[in-house]
Formats: sequence, C-alpha cells, structure tokens
Amino acid sequence: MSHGALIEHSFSEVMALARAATRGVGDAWGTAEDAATAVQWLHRQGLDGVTALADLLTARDGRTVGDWVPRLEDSVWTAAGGRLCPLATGAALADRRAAVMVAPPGLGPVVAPLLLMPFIADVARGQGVLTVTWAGVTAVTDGAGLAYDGAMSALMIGAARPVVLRPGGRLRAAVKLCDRAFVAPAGLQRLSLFADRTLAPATAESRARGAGGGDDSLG
Amino acid sequence: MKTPATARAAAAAIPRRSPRTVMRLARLGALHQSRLSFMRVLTRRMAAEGWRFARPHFRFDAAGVGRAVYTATTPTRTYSLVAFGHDLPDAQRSDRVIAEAWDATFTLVDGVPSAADLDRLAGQVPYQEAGRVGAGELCLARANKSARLWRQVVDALAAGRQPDLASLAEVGYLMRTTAVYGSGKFGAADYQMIADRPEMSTPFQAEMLTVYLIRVFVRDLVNHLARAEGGAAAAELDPALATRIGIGNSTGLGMAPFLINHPRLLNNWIDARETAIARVRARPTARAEEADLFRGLVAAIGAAQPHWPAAHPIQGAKQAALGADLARLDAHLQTADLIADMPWDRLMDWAANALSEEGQELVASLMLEPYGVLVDDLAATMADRDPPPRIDGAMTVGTLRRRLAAAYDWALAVDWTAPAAAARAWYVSAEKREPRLGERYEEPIAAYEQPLAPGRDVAAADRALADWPDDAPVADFLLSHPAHRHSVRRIQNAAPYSEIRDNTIAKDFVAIDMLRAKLSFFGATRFDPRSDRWVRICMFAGAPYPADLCSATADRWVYADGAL
Repeated sequence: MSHGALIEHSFSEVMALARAATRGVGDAWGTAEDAATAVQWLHRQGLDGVTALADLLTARDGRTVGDWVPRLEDSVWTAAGGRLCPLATGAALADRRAAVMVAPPGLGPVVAPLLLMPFIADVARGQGVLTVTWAGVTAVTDGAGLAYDGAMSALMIGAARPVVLRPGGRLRAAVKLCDRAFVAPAGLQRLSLFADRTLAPATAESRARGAGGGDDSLG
Repeated sequence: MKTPATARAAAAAIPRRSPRTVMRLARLGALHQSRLSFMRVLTRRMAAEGWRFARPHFRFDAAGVGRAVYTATTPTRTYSLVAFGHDLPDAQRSDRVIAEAWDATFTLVDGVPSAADLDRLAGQVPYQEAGRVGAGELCLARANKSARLWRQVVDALAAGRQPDLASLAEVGYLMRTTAVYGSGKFGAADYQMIADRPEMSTPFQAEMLTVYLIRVFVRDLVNHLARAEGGAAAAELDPALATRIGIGNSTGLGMAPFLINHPRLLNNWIDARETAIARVRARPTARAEEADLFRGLVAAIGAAQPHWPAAHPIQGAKQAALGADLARLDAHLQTADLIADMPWDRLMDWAANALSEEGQELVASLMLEPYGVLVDDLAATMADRDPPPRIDGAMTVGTLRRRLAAAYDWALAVDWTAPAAAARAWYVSAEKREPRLGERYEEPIAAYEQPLAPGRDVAAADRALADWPDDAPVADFLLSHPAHRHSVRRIQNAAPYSEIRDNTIAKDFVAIDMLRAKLSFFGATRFDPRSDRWVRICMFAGAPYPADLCSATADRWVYADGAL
C-alpha cells in the first residue's frame, strides 16, 4: 500500500495506542493486550491495523460488550447483537486452535473482519495454512506470512461481513514484512480519542499528592 | 566439615535461590549492581571488541549553545550520539520528567547522521516528547546541569584551578538525565529491529551507550565553557577527576510499572543473576587471588559506604543496616576461610543468617567479581526476543488452578477486601500522561486503574475459577470471563522469577524498591531516594573515557577509588 500521507510510527507506539484504546471502550485488559498484538501483526504485514481497530471501536462504542461476543452453541458462531467483535471472536478461535484447525466454525457477520486475521494466523502458526474469505477478499496465512487477493477497500472494510474459514490453501507470494507502522492520520486520531479515556482527569488531590518527580522513562 | 569429595558432589547440586526468597519487594529493593549490570556489560564489550570513538563535530558558543556528534564504531557498524546544547534559564531547570526545556538534548543515531539528518534532528530532538525521531534513531534523551556543581566547576577551571574535590565527590555528576527513552518511543526504532545484533543481545545497551557518550560530551562541554570564559589561563579538567564524575539520573514512578509489564524480562534478569550466584557457590574451592579480590572489594565498599546518600528516612534505615552488615562482614572475614570447602556457599549461608538483605545482596554481587569466566556469558540470556505470550485454551481449569496455587500462594494469602490491602491504585493522569500511584479510597481513580496489581487480579481469577469443573478447558472459562484473560496469560506464562511476590497496591507499598531493582541491573550506584517514589542515582562514575578504555579498565571501574 502507498505510504503517501500516512504517518510512520514504531510498533511499540501503535501497540500502546491500541491497548489503551481498546481498554478505553471498556474491554478487559487481556482483550486490550490481544488487540495490541493484533494491530502490530497487521502493521507487520503492511496493513493499517490502527485504522481497522478504530473502525471496530467506533462501531462498538457505547454498546454492551456482551452483545458482540460469539455464542458457540452450534457450528456457526453468532453474536446476541447480530454482529461479532473480531477481538472476542479471534480470541475464542485462538483459544481453540487445535479444534479450529481441523474443523473451523462458520462465522456470522464480523465487524472490521481484517482484525480476525492476526488471530487466525495465531491458529495456523505451527499447524498449517488457513484460508479466510469475506466481501470478495481471500486471505491465506501460515501464521508468519499473509497473502491476499481483493480490493483494499474490501480488505479494510469496517462494516460487518460474514467470514468463511477453511483449512488449507496456498500461500503464494506472502506480503513483505515491515519494521514500521504506517497509519492513516484519521485512524490515529480516532484511536487516540478512545485511548484518552483511560486517563484519569486531574483533581486537586492528585495535584497536591503529586507523583514524585524524576525520570519516568529510562526504558 | 565436608571432605573435598562430598564438597564436589554437592557442587553439582547447588540450586538457585527460591523465588520465595528472591522475589520479595524488600529484597529486590536491596539489590546492588554486579558484573551482569548492563553498563559493565557494555564497557567490557567495547574494550574486548576494540570499539573506536571519534568526535566529528563539536561547535558551541560561550553560553553552551551548539551541537556535537560523537561516534562509537564496533567491528561492523557505527552508532552516533547527536548532542544539542541549549541556554536554559535556571528557573526552568527541573528534575521532573515533565518539562519543556533542558540544558542538553540527545539522540543516538543508528549509523552516521548526514547533514540533512542533523538538520531534521535539530528540529525535533530539542523538543523531546513534542518532537519525533525515526527508524534511524535508537534513543532520545535529555539532561540538566547540576545546579550545585556546574557553575563551580566552570569557574574553577576558567580561573586555571581544578574544582574542589569534596564538592565533586558529594554530588558525583555534572549533568543529570531526566529521561533516556529507547525501544520505539516517540518514533524511534523498536528493539526488535536491533535485537539480533550481538552488541544489543543484553538489554538496554543502546540506552547505556547513549549515557556513556553523554558523559564524554559533558566533560568536553565543561572544558569548552571554561576555555570560553578563561581563555588561555583556563585549566583542563584533571582526567583523574573527570573519571570520578558520572552521569546523574532522576527516576520516578513511571519506571516502576516496567517490571510488572515485562514479566519475562524480569525473570531473565533475576534468573541470570541467581544462576551466576549458584555457579559461584558451587565452586569447591577458591584460589588465593580470588579470595583476595573479594576481600579488597569489601574493603573498598566499606570505605565508601559511610558517604553514600542517606538523607531520606527509608534510605537512612537501609544505610544503617548496611553499615552494620559491613562491620559484621569485616569481622567475619578476619578469620573466615575463603579458600577451602565451598567457601562461597558457606559465605552465602553465613550472610543469610548474619546480615540484612542489603548485606546479603551485596555479598552475592561481590562474590561474582572474581568469576567473569564463569558467569559473564549469562549477560546474553537477559533479553527477551520471544513472540508475545500466548494463551493455551486447551489447558484444563484444574491444571491452571494448580499452577496458580503454586506460583501465587502469596497472593491467595492476602485478604484483598481489607482496605489496607488495596489502598493504592496505579493510574495514568490526563494532565501529565505519566503513571501515578493514588489513594483508591480517597481519589476518584479506581475506574482508571492500570493492571499493575497481579496478586489481586490473580486472586480474583482464582475465585472465579472455583465455580468451574477441573476438566473444563480454559478456553470456555475465558469466553465467560474475559476479564481474567490478562491474569490467565500471566499464570500460564509464569517463569520462576517473573513475578514480584508482593502486594503492589498495599498501603505500605514502597515504589522505590521497584526502581532500585531495575536500576541495579543497569549498574546504578549512589541510590538517593528523594521520596518514597523517586530516586536519584549515578551512572558510569569511575568508568574509563574512550581514550582510556581497554581490557584492564573496562570491568571493575565501578569500585575505583573515588567512584563509589
């Protein structure tokens, strides 16, 4: 993808931002950690994980977390609220990686489906290759590498789309891995606003108590 | 008394100390630098590999405004410190990480900066957090002059005199860093980008190199300003005095969460040190020169320790205990046999009964000194290059519960409903964007709490797990309880030394113990707490400057006369 007009960040910066933003909409810290790892994985593949996460959090903001979590009652996972969160769904897939590799479940519509890919890569890692399709996109991963066909607009779609997972596939011409994150400014800005919600407003007491001083940062 | 044969048999079986002993906060807060400390690893490598140093650019006016470039060249590549000098009014000089102007600002460049790089950096580095660096930069740092000492030293040198030794010895440094950012901060290169380089195989080597080169810059700048003021009559800072001078650093609460947020790193650091201690304890005998070296270092510490900072009551108590420990150790060493029958194992056993934690950890660090050949390889095991820790959803609840009970029994023993057990909460303030420690029951901060109380959180996971059958998979538990995902990942990936086994939100929690633990691994000396939550230290005091760096000077400089 073109790097024109994109802002360059380190991976640790986008991870810190993704973690705080996910926490900012009320998710558990453990889910926020998954989101950070997922966003980094996408940027390593040259994809704008920050913008994908901003789309997801925008869709979910203000709605009950539980509505987006998959119900595993039958062979197709669906959400009570109709749309699946890729973080909750991805974690549920990764937590069942052996079973998913053999017989992947069907998935109802998933918001910002690109965010599933890091979790599916985690399932595939050391086990084989998985192929994922949504909205005309076909993405193949063996854990480390990713290959995809389809329009960038479909790959990056923020709306919910049904996702089909199947074992196997051929990983032709995996994308070149990147050392840096290239982020659309709007995505960065939206994610920063979510992240800021984790910051405690200053109070007279906290100012008076102070934090001590000094180097808060050697490391 | 053991025979040599049984001693050798025992030697193979000296275990590392238990995490139950080592991972208590009070003990971590009593750690001392050792030969595995990151500053010493760096100076040894620089000497062993014959790194070359140069100063291709140095131009400052009489007020100290200008820029300099210092290069350090390894056998395969060059790193460059770019330094900017500023004219900072006294009123703006602050120890706080939160500030907007500094006496000097720095970046460590991966390679040699071009003229265009220097111009770009000049527009960013002086603004620190408000600026951006890039993939070609490894660190971002700043420093302020010691208000007490700087003027005095420049004036003395300008007048052709050497500065007063007593003042130098008391302060220990001419400039103090208030931040040394690395690993991806503010746009810099991530550690992963440099992790496969041999010289970066020990943690924080880029940061330590930055500080090492800052120290060279500070010496050069003070000489330059003295010449600008005194002209031909000015004296050059006596190299022996310059060697005693380190770089100060003030470190606050922001650093404390690091050890909790990086459990694998913490494990690797402590594991390396404990392995080194166990290897030395397992020596069946010591040679006379090894015992003599140890005795000499104890004597050097004994002479210096009474002058170490003790102003804060917490440090005052530790200093008093260490002083008594050193007296006991001195008396013990009058008659102790450090040669035969597993001398270091016996000494550690004696120390465990006779000395406070300060004294025990000092003995442990000092007895590694004669044994570089035996322990220095461990420095390469201290980094963390592994992928992010995964959750094993196929593990059963029963197995998870057993692991939890084994590694977190200390946390299950706490009554977390007691107000004193959870009196504090870690949060990040909107105003300063830095970690703070607040009073949970007195301030509206609980909703903003950071996950920095693993003991409490694991105990909560344990209560939630109680309702689940042993054979249920962890995956099902987590689908119902995503709130415990963080703790389950911690429990499943726990290593022997990955967790501080104390309550980090207790009413009586002392944050500077965490700072001391981390800074000791850097190799810091002169711990000088200014409150229970920030501390001043000294780095590289006694270290050879590039011209004097060789295998003879690269290692035990920290014990040099006047450095301690």
